[in-house]
Amino acid sequence: MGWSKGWRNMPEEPLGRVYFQLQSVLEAAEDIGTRTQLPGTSQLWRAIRDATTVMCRRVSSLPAGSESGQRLAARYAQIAEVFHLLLGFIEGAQAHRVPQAVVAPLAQMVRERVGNADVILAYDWLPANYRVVPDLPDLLDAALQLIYPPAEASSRPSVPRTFPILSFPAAEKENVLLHAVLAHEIGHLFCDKLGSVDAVSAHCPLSEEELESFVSNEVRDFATALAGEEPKGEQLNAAAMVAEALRPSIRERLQNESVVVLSYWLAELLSDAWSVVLMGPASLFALHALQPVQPASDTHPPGSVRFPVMIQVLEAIGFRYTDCEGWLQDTFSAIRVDADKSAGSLKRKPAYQLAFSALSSGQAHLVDHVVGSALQGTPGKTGDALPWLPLYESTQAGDHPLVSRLLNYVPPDCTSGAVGDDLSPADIGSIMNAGWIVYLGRWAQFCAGFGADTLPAQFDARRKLNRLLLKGVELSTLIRLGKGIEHGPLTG
Amino acid sequence: MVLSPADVRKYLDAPFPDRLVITPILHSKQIDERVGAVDLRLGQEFLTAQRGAVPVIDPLDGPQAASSSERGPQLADYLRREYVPVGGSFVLHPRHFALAATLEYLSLPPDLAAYVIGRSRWARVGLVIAMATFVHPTFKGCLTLELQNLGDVPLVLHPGLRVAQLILHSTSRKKPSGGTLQPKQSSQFSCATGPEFPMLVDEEDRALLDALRGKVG
Repeated sequence: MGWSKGWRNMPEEPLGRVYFQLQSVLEAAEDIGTRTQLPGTSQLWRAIRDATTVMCRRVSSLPAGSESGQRLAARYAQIAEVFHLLLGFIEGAQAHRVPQAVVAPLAQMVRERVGNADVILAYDWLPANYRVVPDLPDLLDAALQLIYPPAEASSRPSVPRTFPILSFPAAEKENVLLHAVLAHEIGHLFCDKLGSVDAVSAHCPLSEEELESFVSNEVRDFATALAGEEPKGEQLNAAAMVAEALRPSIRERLQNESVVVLSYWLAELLSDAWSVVLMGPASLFALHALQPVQPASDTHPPGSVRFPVMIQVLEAIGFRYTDCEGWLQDTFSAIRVDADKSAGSLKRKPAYQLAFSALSSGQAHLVDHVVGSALQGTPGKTGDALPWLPLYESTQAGDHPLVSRLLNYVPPDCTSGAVGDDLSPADIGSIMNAGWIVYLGRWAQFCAGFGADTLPAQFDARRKLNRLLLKGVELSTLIRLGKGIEHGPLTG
Repeated sequence: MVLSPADVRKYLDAPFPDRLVITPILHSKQIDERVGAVDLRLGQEFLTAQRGAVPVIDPLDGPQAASSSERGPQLADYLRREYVPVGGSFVLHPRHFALAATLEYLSLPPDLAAYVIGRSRWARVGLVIAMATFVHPTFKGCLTLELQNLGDVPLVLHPGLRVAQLILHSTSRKKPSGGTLQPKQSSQFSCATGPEFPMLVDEEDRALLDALRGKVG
């Protein structure tokens, strides 16, 4: 590429600016490209790099000041932003602390149901929340269509059918056990695909009687406020007349607000239900650990609603926590106690109470909808639909040495006591899967083993456990990479 | 009594909680068939000293005077954590000091203790790998290695190099009566998976020394 166009010396010029932007994308891509690529990310990375190179070439061939050039610059500037974002996700997925072994089982579950997932990119992002970012793969598609017009479609780089990106908070990057919350985010995607919110909301009508009651309360309160202090009879009548005239608008506002809250809450509860289907009690424990007491908000129902629904789904799929060991029952009891603490938050807004009443009438249908969808096509084969169940049962029977190792504060590992044994990557994945899903249910016991009676000490104990799990993942990866160690750097 | 190779293998195969865990053992030659010592490899995490970051390390005064339940922020400034990926390298310059950890994670049963010492081939080029060499029974974690280059040229160290060896010996301590859970860990570095920041003074000592200083000064 030559430097003959002049505008490269003038960064104020739009073409010059976007050229530098694109160059920074290339530099970031090159920097990431020097590191180990995880499966699925290398193709995406290559597509971004190649497309950016094409954009750079086009920009450098445009004359400065041309109107078409200005339009192209604006378009490419936005694409550069998207590419930076995607590269950030790739980088996050590569970081050695990102538990790809944790994400891989989730990807498998999604592929079986959604059917078009090649990779899940899990990235630590600034917002202190777990969430799903569904739009970026579509953005990438759109960006590539803009870069490669139909005439050049054959030159378009192929991209993986990336699954929507799951984002987890940077602060929890090493907190492997909390990543079970990712199952809730996947639940959102399942609900979108199945249209679950609409299907279930038909069974969750607002209570007319309750609505009228709240409306009347608001009308009365409004009239009281209008009347002022020590009102006389005529003022009272006038205030009441004015307030009554506003009844329809008050009702409409309250009804709309309740419907919006209800739809948000339904989406969350349906996702909670799916997370239990995908991951068993682990998802419940992780959600509880993330936020033990969850008050009601405009977008999320309180814990007093969420946790019982999740327990109900567990029971609907045959999991009886009352049949579990005492420590597990204690964990469920603790969750119920914390759930009750948030019940009072329903009174913050009439919309919350209305939504809660509506949910109560449709809760059974919500559970049936999710469980039925999950088990559809697998009659009599619950284990196929619930991947965690056989693993859980065999672990409860003491068949998994992994849990034994972790309970003895030893990281999961490739060896089974003998020297020099190797496990295949599939073995490692299944071991991590079993341990990850099941061991989440052993938090309480593990924390107790560390003498973690106080909340800060429990966090410290969890950090140790996370490090043990991650250490095991690292060692397993190292051993796979270190095949042929006779000639590699692992001799000395 | 120092363990023989056969004893080492027996402990490696024992059931929990009596099992000796050294994981991973990447090659059978790591167990020395002559003396039963187990070679340990260099891990991937290093804590390097930032000389200009703190003027002095005083466990009782200044920023390092952190309680046993927290880490002084200045100490974290003095030691910076670096991660070296597989295939990478770490350079230890002459007279420089760094903390590293073994690649292997160790778990010693209650009736075994160990010493970690350097391998002579590395000692001959000036690499000191450990100053606190005793590994107590029930220890769990990656061993922190105190690396110092006493030679005159920089040493390029690669994660995975066998730089240390573990000499195991039995103790007279009785085994616990059973169960899968070990007794509560009292070591400040229990279950470390990388080099740990030092905690120079614990609460009891601090109280005593502060009291003594009060009497003297």
